[in-house]
Amino acid sequence: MSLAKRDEMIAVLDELSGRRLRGKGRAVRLCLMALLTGGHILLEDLPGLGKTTMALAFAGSMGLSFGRVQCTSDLLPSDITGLSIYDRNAGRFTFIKGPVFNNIVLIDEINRAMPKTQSALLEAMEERRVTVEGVTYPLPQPFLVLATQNPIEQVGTFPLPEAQMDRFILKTGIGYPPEETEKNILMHGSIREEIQHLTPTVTHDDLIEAMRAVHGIYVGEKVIDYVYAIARATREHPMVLAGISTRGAIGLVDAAKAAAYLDGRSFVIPEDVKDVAAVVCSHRLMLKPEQEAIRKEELLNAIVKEIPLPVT
Amino acid sequence: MVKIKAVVATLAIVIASIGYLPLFPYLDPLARWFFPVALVVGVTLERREKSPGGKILTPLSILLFLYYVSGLSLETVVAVTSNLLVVLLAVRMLGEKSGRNYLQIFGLSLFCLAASSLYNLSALFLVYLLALLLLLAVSLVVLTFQVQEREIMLSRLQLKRVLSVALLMPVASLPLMLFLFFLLPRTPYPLWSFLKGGGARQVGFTDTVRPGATSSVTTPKNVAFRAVCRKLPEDSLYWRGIVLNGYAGDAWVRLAPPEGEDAAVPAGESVEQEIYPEPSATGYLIALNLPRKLVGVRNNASPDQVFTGQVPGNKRVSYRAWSVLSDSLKNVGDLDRSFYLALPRSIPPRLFAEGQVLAARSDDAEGKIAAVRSFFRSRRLSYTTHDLPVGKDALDSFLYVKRHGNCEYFASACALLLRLGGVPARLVGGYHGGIYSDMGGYYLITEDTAHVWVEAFVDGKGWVKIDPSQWSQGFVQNESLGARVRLYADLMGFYWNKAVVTYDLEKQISLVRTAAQKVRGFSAPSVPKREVILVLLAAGGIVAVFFWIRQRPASPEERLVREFLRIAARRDPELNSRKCGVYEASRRLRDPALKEFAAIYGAAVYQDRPLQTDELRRCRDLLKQARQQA
Repeated sequence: MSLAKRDEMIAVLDELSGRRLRGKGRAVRLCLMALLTGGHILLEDLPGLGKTTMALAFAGSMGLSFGRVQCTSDLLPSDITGLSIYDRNAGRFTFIKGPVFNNIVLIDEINRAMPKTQSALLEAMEERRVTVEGVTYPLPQPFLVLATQNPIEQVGTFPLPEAQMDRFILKTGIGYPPEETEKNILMHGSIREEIQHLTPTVTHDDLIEAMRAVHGIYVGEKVIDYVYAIARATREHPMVLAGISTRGAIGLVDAAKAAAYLDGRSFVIPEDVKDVAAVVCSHRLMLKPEQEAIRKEELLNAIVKEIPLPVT
Repeated sequence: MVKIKAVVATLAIVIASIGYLPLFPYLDPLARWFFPVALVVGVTLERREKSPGGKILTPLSILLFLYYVSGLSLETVVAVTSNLLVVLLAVRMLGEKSGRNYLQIFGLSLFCLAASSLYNLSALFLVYLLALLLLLAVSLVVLTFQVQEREIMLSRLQLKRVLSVALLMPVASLPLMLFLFFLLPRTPYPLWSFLKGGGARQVGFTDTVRPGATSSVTTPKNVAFRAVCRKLPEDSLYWRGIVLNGYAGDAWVRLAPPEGEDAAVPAGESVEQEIYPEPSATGYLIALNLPRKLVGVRNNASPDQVFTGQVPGNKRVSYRAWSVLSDSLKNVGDLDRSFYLALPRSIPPRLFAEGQVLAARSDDAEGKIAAVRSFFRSRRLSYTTHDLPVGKDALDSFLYVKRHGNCEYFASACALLLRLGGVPARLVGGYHGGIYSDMGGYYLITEDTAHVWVEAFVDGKGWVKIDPSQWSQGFVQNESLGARVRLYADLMGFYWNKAVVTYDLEKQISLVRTAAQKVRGFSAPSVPKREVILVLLAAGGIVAVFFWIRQRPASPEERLVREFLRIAARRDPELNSRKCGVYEASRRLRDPALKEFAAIYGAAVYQDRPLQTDELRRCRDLLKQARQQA
């Protein structure tokens, strides 16, 4: 089994979830999957559950640059992309790059930014480049946006429309850590200080190579049939207004590839698809107005449960 | 979500109503009105979650019980019992309802329905019985839920499932019911008939004709009898019941026919009829004019072709009759002319004078009959059943004043004139017409078609049928739309009587006998044994190939995965229902052999390539290991 740089990636995961970010194993794994597929991830959870810590640790141990934007309603697009400032010494305008010019960008409380800023950011996510004053600047590779949003506080927010949600390959929560883990965290305090001095265990090139390996994972016909069956089932479900888009189905295949890679397989099995279906697809469902109260994850799990896995 | 409590309460109301409704016409006013009132009050109290409690209900029950039992005698056993059952049911509906009380309601309803069969065993009883059986089965199942948890709620889907399973039980038992119906022993006599007393009811067909007794005749459209036979021309539908051959005072009655008289039904094509009369007290067996033979019931035939049967109690019977559609009955014995020329005590003068004129005519009986016909025609009489002439001179009034009447007037006036004219004559009572049911292939004859006509003796011809009502203006007994509709409703009752009520020991025995004969008469056709074996083998082979094709896995992979899933399902039965994949199952079972199998199998199948030979072998080995471990 020769999957390039898989061992290194697993080592990073073990390091992070086993030692630094206890109780966040799943979220860290999903972040890595998003990174490997070249997608972005939306973390929806309450404040104070370690979203920022996780992002910092993640960036640190990967040896990647890290940028952070705290969204407020008066945040301007230029606060993210950067802007040109007149340099009196040089006698010309120089472009000061914004926080988006980093490998890992943490967008905190993305739903507090106004739609104009949100769309500028989402455009950068999709295009992987930024155009300011007629000049196009490519964004660094790899590029991962970790956006967070608070699901409870809704006052003064601009919730992301479903169309924008579609651009995140994964959406997940972190959740409270298990009892023992949380007590342990309380005993030892925050690890923010520690994280500042993390030594990266993988190189930038390792990461690029791993991404290429993920891209080359084999997806068989049966798995494609299965993905299509899920997409179609969501489109035909009576409670759903709009099911999974083709982009969503592509995301499902990509995420399944990353899962297969991390599992040490060079091909995708239907179980990979099933495992990632909820995090990849649920935020893409648009429910009928009268069904708003239903939790999308539960609905999606119910739909997936009804579709038999192809075994032959 | 549906409250089981509400379902049970509704079912109980319906069930109690099914117990009450068939008894309704036979109850005394107290029981008749107490039940609906108690039902409404009970429902209202239940809505308000109140109940009268045992302190009121128990003394009430005892009081009602004493009230009814005090009137108990041998004649009123049935009435008292049914009233008491309904009243007790009503009290139960009034009170608080626990599981035990519901069971009491169900039991009482069943008893009420059984009691109703003592009064009337019509086809409707079957409907009630089937409905009750279905509802009882459903209610008992639903009740078990409520007994477990009083306030239990079920979703619509769950309820649907419960109800369909509950419905399946009685439906599944229906064939058994049918089977038992044919087998169970039964008596040829109704067990309860001694309790019922005489079931005589008003019939249109009478054994006394006295025109002028009533001013209008209204006979209910009750069924008189049904006759299964082929469809016949309308004008031959005279059903002969009784012959009134003499006078008792002024009324026509049946006297014993004179000694030595005998009649012969002329030869001709005979019509076979199977007749199902409604129970009545007359004892005359009706058949198409002129009946030749009658079997199925022990009967006496008199020389004027009147059959009297010995029908026990109110038992429903059926008999078969053969008739010749002929208008004249030959007389082979001596005819006592004076007997058939006897006159009533009083004769209206004008009628007497008319008779004298007729007698003075020199020509024979046929000429006199023609003269009577032309006399009737000249009077321009019309047929009616209302505003009939009454009193002593009713016939005079009929012929000269009012000039309308019903068949009794026509027939008795005609017969009297003929007798005055010296032609022996008598009246024949029976029915005329009938509605043919094409679907059932039988005639339905109702009491309102009862009819009287005349037979006059013509030398050389015998007794000739004359229907003087035909000489009236507007004598039509046409069938209305209502009659058509009625006919369809009647069909069910007919088959009920035919198949259930008149089904008795005799038919049971004949059924067994024919079955035995069929079995005895059955002989296997002689076919060479070798050929039979060959054909059987070939058929078996085809069936086996068919199943093999259906069952055979298409590829070795498929066979492997089936085996794998079978092993997995045996270890964890839940897996089957979860539509599990191979990896998922092996992960859950934590068996290294199965895990390895999944890895090898998945690597091939999910990379769209067939398993290689060594992989196949390895997979089989792994499965064998797993099976042995299990």
